[in-house]
Amino acid sequence: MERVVFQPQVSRRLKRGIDVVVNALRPTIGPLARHVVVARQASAQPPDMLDDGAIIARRLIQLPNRDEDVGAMLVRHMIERLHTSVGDGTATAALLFQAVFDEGIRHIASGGSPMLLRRHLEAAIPILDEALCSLQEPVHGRTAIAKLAESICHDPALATGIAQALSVVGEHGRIDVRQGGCNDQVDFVEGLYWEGGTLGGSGLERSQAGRITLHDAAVLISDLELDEPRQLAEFIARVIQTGKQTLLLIASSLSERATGLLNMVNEKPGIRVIGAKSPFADIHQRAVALQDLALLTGGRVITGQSGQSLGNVTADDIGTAQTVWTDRLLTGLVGGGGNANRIGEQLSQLRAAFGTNPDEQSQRRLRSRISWIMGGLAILWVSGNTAPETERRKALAERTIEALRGALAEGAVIGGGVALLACRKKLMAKQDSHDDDARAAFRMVSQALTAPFEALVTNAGYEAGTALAAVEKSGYRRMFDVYTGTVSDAQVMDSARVLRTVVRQSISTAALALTIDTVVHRSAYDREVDLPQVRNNHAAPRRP
Amino acid sequence: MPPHVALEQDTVYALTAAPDFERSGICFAARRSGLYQSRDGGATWQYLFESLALPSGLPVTAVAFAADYPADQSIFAGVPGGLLRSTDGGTTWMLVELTDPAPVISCILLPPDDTGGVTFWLGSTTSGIFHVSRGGDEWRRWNYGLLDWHVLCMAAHWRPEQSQLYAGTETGLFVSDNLGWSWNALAIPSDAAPVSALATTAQALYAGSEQGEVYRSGDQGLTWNSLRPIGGGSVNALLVESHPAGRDTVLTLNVDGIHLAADKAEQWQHILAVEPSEAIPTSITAPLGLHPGAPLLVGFEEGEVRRLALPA
Repeated sequence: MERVVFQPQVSRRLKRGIDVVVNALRPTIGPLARHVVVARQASAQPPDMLDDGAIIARRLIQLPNRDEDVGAMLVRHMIERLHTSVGDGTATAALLFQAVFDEGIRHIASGGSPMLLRRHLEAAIPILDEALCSLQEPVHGRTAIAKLAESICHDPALATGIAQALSVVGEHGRIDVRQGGCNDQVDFVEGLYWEGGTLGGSGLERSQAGRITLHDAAVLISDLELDEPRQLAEFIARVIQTGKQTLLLIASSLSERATGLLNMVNEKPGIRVIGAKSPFADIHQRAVALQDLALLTGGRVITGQSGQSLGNVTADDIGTAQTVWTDRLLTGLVGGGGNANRIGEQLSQLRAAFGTNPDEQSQRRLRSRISWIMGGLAILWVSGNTAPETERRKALAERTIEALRGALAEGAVIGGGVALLACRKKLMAKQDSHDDDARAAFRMVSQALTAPFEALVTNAGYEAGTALAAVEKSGYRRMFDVYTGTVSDAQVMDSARVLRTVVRQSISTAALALTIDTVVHRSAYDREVDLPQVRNNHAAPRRP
Repeated sequence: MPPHVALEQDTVYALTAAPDFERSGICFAARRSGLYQSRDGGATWQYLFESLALPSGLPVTAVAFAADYPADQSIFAGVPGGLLRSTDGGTTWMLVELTDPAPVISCILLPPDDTGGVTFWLGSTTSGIFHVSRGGDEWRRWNYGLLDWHVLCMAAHWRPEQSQLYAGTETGLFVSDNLGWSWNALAIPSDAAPVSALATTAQALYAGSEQGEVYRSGDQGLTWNSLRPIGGGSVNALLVESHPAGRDTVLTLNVDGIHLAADKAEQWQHILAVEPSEAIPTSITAPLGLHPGAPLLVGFEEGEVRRLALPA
């Protein structure tokens, strides 16, 4: 049985649901933020202490009142999308959303048209986008990156490690965040590697870690199933004739007979031949990876799908590498002999593709390919006093890195809510003075832009109105220092891409939410549970 | 000369003069047979590897002084597979072995200040760039973004706020603005590669190629102007000196001799002509700069080092 809810209950209940989610995130904004504790299902387990907006929102699975739950899920969905796309800014977006929605329903209640309001609200978005673009500054060098990282993660040690890694590998480079080590150290790994271990190789010298390393190696790049020993022996003989004494065979598999042949070959003095599994199980990914390996090594992909075999392979098809290594799980390569100009062209194409492809998974694959070509990756080791803290810091590091990539690409703006405040004047200057609805919409957005700043200041224990007046009087490059309670030169930056995405998504989602007139529930009627109305101005204890 | 050294084809790969050359006359020649020192401005030479008691010659392909020599008596010599370092002006040597695989050192780039244990850079023709600690105790090969590991030359713009390192390779030119931790390719004209020589002034970057071309950039490699010298053949070395009002003096060492240009390189002088039948000049140093009358030391393929002077 469906249950239909009409106005004015819709707006009232949506607002309550929105307020539950947003006010749960409000304490997490700013450098002097507080945690939100989420109790676990099993009471014996300690509660989760969270300070990430997206994770907190994710834990709010369903509100008891289903009408309110609709509002809550609207915000939660927006936060989730934001977290996926830019990795940061969720609490800011939630506050902007709430502020626009609150003012919007008042405007509608006093006779305004929700559809017109939506149009005018969305008209403010490109103006704000342009305003933020005009404020953004490039981020260069380890110091600037560290400053920005710290403003995102509020963890100086982590920010230092992240900056060290990002300043080397760049916005497209690969950074693996792993648990362990100490002091958030960064290791740099030369070359590329993939998951695909040794095929055969008994009798060859291995390191203590079980790794076989060959220098100045010829490289066969294929997805062949190497089965026929005679063909393999002839191929190896052809490679040795070119002067190479070491050979890496990248293949799908190596039969026992072929393995036996390799063992015999490796008994000859000076000759070293090893097999390694082709990268990736997925056919498409494997094809792309083999093409990249061919480019990097100067070889050609030999693929069984096109009817090729070892019998067809000539010396020109073989790639080269300064060093190849393989162990039980992984295989790597350093210093491929590919043509540098062609590699450079491929790199440019991949970077261009990265810039135009919004899909997160595609971006991750492109990033992996770029880091292969660039010839290395960074490993950031993260630790904590306890296992949960380590996990938290690892997740924080990953989030921060994602947010910073955008900043490296598109720059940063002054943080602490100042950039949004600076956009207010530009917004009001562009409003259409003849249209009441348009003026109302721009006024709503302008007012909403103060919400993140006010929450940040309030969380630190100061009076928001006074701080706002002081900052607006001081000019753009000044911000409110929550540690000293004074206005000072800006020390904190925010990623411009994150802020622009936050503004876009929060205002457009709020504008859409304001057009909701009726809610239909598709299951049995639930008894309403009236929560006490949540106020918007939770105050932290005032500082003396 | 040690008895085992063959004087023919003892190619002079590199020449360098001590910062106090005018007073001390100290300079070094990196030859196929080893490292040689002169204390009289290049008139006579002494073999510096006696203390190593080598059974045969050890080619030295690059050589550099510490920037604050003679206060710091460190000398660095690139040899096959590593680096020899002396802390006592060449009396004794310590080997820094670079392995897997053994590189051929083409150039050594030292920063002007010793910032206490911090890195200098070795370019190699096979393995890219090595970062080495001042003491030589630690080294690592790191070539992130350096797509071509055949490094022929290096140069730098040293600046307090952010230095730029440049690496000339067989296929092009790369720049790093984080002390070699990552590299980006610079777009250069097609005949500017292989980039065989680099030089910098405070305002400009010069690149010479194996195709005989010389290019100048005033914006750290973003755009380039051609300075075509009169002569042809590979640019084996490039020296520049800046003067007020942006007039640089440029000297190129080509296969056919030495070319000099001043006043924005509008006119080139062929100050040393080398006939095709003669030995090819392979290295040069200008210990006292490029002003008129200043001394030059020129090394040749067959091992000779000649002392010349710039035209007055």
